[in-house]
Amino acid sequence: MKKFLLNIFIFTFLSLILGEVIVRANRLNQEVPQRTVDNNGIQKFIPNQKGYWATGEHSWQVNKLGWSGELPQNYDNLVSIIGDSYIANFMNPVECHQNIFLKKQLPEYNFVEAGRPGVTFIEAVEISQNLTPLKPNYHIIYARNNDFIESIQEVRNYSDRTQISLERAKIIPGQLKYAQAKKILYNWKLAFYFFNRLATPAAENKESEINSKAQKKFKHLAKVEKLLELTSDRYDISNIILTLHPDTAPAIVKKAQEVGFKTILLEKKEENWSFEHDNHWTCYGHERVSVQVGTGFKKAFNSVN
Amino acid sequence: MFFNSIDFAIFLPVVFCLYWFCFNKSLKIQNLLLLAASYLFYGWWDWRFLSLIVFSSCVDFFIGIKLAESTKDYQRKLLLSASIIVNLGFLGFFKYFNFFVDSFTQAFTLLGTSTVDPILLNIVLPVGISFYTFQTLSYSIDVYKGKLEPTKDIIAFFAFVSFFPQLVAGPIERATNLLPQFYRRRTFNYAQSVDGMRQILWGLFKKMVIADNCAFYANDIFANHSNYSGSTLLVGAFLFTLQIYGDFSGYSDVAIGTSRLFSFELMQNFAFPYFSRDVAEFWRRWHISLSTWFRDYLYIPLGGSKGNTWMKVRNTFIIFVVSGFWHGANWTFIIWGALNALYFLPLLLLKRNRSNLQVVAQGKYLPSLKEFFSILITFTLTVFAWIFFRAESVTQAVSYVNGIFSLSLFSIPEVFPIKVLSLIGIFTLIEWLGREQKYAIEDIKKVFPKPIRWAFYYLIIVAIFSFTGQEQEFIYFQF
Repeated sequence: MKKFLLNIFIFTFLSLILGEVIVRANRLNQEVPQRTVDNNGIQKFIPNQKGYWATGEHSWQVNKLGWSGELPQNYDNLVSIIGDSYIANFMNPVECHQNIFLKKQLPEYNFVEAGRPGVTFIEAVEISQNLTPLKPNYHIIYARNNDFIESIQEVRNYSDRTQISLERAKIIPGQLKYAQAKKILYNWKLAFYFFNRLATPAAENKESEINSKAQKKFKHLAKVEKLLELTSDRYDISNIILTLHPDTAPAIVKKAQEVGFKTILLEKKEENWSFEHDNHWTCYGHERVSVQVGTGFKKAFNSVN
Repeated sequence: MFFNSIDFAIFLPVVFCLYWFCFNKSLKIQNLLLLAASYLFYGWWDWRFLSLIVFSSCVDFFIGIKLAESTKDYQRKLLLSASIIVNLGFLGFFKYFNFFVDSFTQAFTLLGTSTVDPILLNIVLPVGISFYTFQTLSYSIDVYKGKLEPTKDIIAFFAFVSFFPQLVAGPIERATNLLPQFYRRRTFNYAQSVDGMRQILWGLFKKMVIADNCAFYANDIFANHSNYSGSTLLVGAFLFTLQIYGDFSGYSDVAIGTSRLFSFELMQNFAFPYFSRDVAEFWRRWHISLSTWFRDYLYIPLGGSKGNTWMKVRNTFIIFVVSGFWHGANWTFIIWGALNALYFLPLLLLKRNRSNLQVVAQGKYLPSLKEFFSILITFTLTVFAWIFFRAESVTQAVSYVNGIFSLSLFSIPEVFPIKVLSLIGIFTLIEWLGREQKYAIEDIKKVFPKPIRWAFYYLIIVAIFSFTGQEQEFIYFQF
């Protein structure tokens, strides 16, 4: 038995090394940037990191401000683009980011992105307030049903995301969760490869299921309405334009407009915005979205100007 | 729980460790652990159907004891009949109820009674029911015939019926082989366990690389056969032929290998059937546990190959048609069985059904030209029969065959997966080289030193991760 177990151990150990070499050599995983929390309690990426997306088709870079996406040539007439993984957009090359496409739509403006997977609606608003040193004139916040629900601590408690407690009317900043464990997982490429293959698809399916359910029957509407009211009372939202995913519950759109948000409800006229096994937008999807956002932005703010 | 799942990858080492490190002091407790593990393994799909296994095990256990106690012939016959009725009753209800109702309805409609309104039930087929039913039946029949002493060890018997490696897709073990292994004290055997691991690895390769990749194309071609040329349909039938072999023999390899980790020896279920030189040899090498079950419990009691020509023809048709029907409640399986009977009959009548008992080209690298063409003809006949096995209905099968035998048979196939065909080529070569063993890579330990063996295992693992097809269920789970 000892010999058998020893052989199994050695074989497994060598398998792990071989697997690690294969996964690294073939770049079967994407590299994941490390995060940090800044002085304002905003969770962003450690600046100036570089890495590649799965299969190494393209690489990504975190800029000096701690966000993905290129920085503009100058910061005049600046518009920030804030959102979750759709805006962080590591799955597409840098030329497929919203800031590049929107610059083509609205050449008179400059764009800076502030995207990070898992950003909630309230966190996006918080980020918009904390980009003040850059003095953006406007903020475009991308959001979905889940981003509103996940903003409310009483509905779902996510300690790693910034949330709001509606009962206490208090912002609870997100904290880095299992940072060391994540660091090990992301650096142990073989383990991360299995984690991605086994854990992520289920999570994605669950997410899309939640989205479609949420649109059919929006359970937490009263709380989301309160969230929107509190946000409008607490922050200056006059220069924020909410860009809402096509499946956003109509009641949320209506309430957001009532409390003073300018909104763009994306219309999905074609089915091929997303990757085959991933809900995120492809380069084509981003380009189509930017056309709608550009038009909506002009409507919303040119009339103001 | 599938063998090719993460659940099983966790389940197996846990049971292995408990079996050898925690419960190795007592045989009874080891058997109890195997029983609990087997029920967990089965209950992973649907725990409700565990009641069927428990009930079936109870019936045969007590009938076995009663058979030993009774001396009167009619009592013994009555007890055996009870076992057969209960076991085949379950099988008939869950597997064939709707088929019979539907077939009777169609028959009545053909006779002009158009008002028959069939009562079809929404029955879920319990996984592996055909396998464990035959296993328990073999126990009662063997006890009745006096080939086996009935057991009084209820835990051993229940563990024998539900032994997880072979519970849902065989090999269908005989009580005479497997049950005594639950009585004897088992000690860890290094060589046996290493061999078991090797067989598991080879089985996973067959299933995940060969079968699942073939399935991807075969499923598409069969589903859209009317849109494809004859040559593509031929490719589809060929790929299904490899799929079903990789799938089922792969499962058997994992089952046998897993059993060996627990110091159990199961019977060989496949012996390189596609290298057979005639159909009789094919049936000695394909799904051996089922073929021999039917031979011993149906064919021989019917008279076997003894008697006049009519009896031989009758018995051959019965065994092949029943074997086809065992696979599923569909006329396609019955036709598949009948087709094989037609292939087999000439050999039987000309007394050439036992002319190829040895492995082809024994001790040689290459077959003779005659052997090569014999293999090719047998393989072609088998591919043709598999079309009926795979088709959803007889109409689809006929349409598929018509599609093959059209002018487009000579066109370039629209589907010609080079990668999959290359993998099949490598796989066939390895199988050919290892055809004199129980499974293709069994003798690697005798031929190559450890570093080369391990490098080969790593290649297989890399192939599994690099070329694994979209996960497909094991085909034989539905039977």
